Amino acid sequence: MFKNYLISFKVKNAYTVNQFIYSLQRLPLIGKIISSKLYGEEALKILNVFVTLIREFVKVFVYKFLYILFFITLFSGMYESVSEVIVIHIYLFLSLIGSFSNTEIFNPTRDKYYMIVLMKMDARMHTLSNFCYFLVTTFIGQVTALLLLTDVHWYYIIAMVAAMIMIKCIAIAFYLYRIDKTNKVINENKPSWGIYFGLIFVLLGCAYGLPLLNLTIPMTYMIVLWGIVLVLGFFSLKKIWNYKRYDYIYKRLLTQDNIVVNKNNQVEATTQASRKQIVVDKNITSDKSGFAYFHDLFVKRHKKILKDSAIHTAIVIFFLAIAVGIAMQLIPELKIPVANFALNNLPILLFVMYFINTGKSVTNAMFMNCDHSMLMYRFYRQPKTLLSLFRERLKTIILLNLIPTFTLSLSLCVLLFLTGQNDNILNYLIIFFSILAMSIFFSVHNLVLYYLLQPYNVGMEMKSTTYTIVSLITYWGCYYLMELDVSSLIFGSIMIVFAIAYSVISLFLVYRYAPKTFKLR
Amino acid sequence: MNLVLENVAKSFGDKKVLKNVTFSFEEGKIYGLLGRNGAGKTTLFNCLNEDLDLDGGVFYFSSNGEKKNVEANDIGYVLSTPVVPEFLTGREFLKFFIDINKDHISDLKSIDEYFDLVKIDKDDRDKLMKDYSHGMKNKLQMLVHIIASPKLLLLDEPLTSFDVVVAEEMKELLKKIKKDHILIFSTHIMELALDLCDEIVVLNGGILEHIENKDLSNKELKDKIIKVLTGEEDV
Repeated sequence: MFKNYLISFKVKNAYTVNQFIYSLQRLPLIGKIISSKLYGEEALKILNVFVTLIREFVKVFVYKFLYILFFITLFSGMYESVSEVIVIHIYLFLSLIGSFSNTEIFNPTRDKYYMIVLMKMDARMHTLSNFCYFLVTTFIGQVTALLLLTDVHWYYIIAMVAAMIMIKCIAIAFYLYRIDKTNKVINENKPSWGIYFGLIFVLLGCAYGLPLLNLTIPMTYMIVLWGIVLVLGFFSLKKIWNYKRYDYIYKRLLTQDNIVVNKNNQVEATTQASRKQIVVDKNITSDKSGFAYFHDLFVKRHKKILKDSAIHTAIVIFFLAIAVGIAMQLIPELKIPVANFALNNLPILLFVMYFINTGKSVTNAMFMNCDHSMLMYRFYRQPKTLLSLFRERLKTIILLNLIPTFTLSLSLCVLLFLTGQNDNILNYLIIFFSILAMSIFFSVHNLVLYYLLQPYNVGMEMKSTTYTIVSLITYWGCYYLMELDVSSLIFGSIMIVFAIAYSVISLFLVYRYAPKTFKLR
Repeated sequence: MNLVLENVAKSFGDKKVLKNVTFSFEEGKIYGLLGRNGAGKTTLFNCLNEDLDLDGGVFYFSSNGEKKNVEANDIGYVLSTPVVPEFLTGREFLKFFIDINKDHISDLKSIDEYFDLVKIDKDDRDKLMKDYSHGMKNKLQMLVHIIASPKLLLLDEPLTSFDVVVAEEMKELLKKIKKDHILIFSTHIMELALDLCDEIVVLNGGILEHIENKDLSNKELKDKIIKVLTGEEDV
């Protein structure tokens, strides 16, 4: 069995190192120096060992450390005093969540696909050897993390971690039993979401909620529980060990729907997902012609992600505004903060507009369902045609985003009026138009970026570092501006001027450069 | 009219895929471009279609000693994997294509006549192309190029996804349109090349070689091609 584990471990290392070289080759500048001959380089075996040690160290210690830090140490700040009992109580319920959400055996991974499907390794031996490694490393990692991060006695720590492992085994044994009865194989990455989250929600409630009400499982009960779990766990382990049908399980789990094995597979998965966005309705037609016709049909057949989503956002904003309006009437003290918000907090709305703007998801759909195929045609890439479609698209994106934006800016003005705190008409005008300007800015920004940087490759993956960097800068820019302490009058005016200037400049850039930049990678 | 390639070169890193390819393709003929996997057939097509920049050399049309640049409208490139906008129906795609290209299309027919040409069933014409089979998408892709009727048609393994009946139909169609075009047809399948093409060219080791087929039996020609492909014989 150890031999089996070693083989799968070596294979995993080989492709981790290869992936590492591959990603180095993709980096700007450095990539040019790195030759493909490196893959066959014997000296890299040393890198292999190094990569393995780091990866396993991170998996065994860093992840577990972060897990305990985040879920136990940080949360225990909620309670007046953190006793041993509370930590053990929380840990028990977290173990229950882990028992079905992280089983290792029912997780279809690429490693398993390579070893069991491609290399025909015995499914049972592969599963058991990897499962043993998983249990031992989980045990060591969690015990270490708990010793370092909590004040629980070491013998309790060993008992609770051992119980956690056994709870996992009981859950797995139950799933195996169910497979024998019903032939149903669960995939831990694709659970039935309702039950899954319901259960997690209840268990989290028990973990963190009960101690708030001073309800925790008393230590004596806990010890009895551990005892029962250990006994049941022992029989479960036996079931897992003796189980014969792992090959059956993996035939069902290691399918192309569950794991992305290669490029074609990934393209297919992405294509399938984007196809679902297309609305099938025989009544959809268009009386336009040329690019307007093409674009019109695109918009109508993507109604769900375009128009519907804009309208939904607008409705949510509308009802929120009504709720705030009613609240102000009921609690007049609210009027001052609402007025303050409208008059001094426009930068926050910039951040909100960043999230509301659908430009990014729309350009994504444009690529997946349209440009990915059409860019293969020469006529589609001709400057004249490319720009005429760009114009159509710009109009649509701006108009669609103006639906929620208009609702938002109008609502804010009405709310400001209802507070009775402002009689300067200029404030209304600036607030109203600056929010529209923000929306237009984001619409232009998203589409222009798409045309100038076209970030997707033929395999439909986002591959442009520049695009990622610009997107991050946009996000951080909006985020930091939020803290700006400036009146809406000033910020709004600047925003309007900025949006106009930005649009003019970027449209100029698109007309100048897009015919060269807008192509398949 | 001829398509002339002069010293066309293309490398990826250290690998020279096209080494000063020089060749002249004549109008009215179907050229079968044979090459082993990775020989650079698709690279050659991508260079001619200007999807890739050349490292060196030129290509142009030559007619009665006059040189003419190859413009975008002069080339049609049919890919082995068909790509069509799946949110449109076949009819809508053709309508759009004709709208955009009508200035370049001579002898414009009705959309249904075009559908008839590639034998797409009446029921399928108004279906979204996302529900088309691979073969049907391929037919549509081929059809738009036939409508545009460019002087040079590059076909990259175009018949592999068709069933035998459709493949025969397509072969007939290509033979029908060849007289006003230069057709270069890349394939792995030697029988297909011998059956359909007037001339055989082999891309091997970055060099394009014409296989003289006069006075050779089919068997002798095949042996010769294999020898050239494996590098045992120069032409």
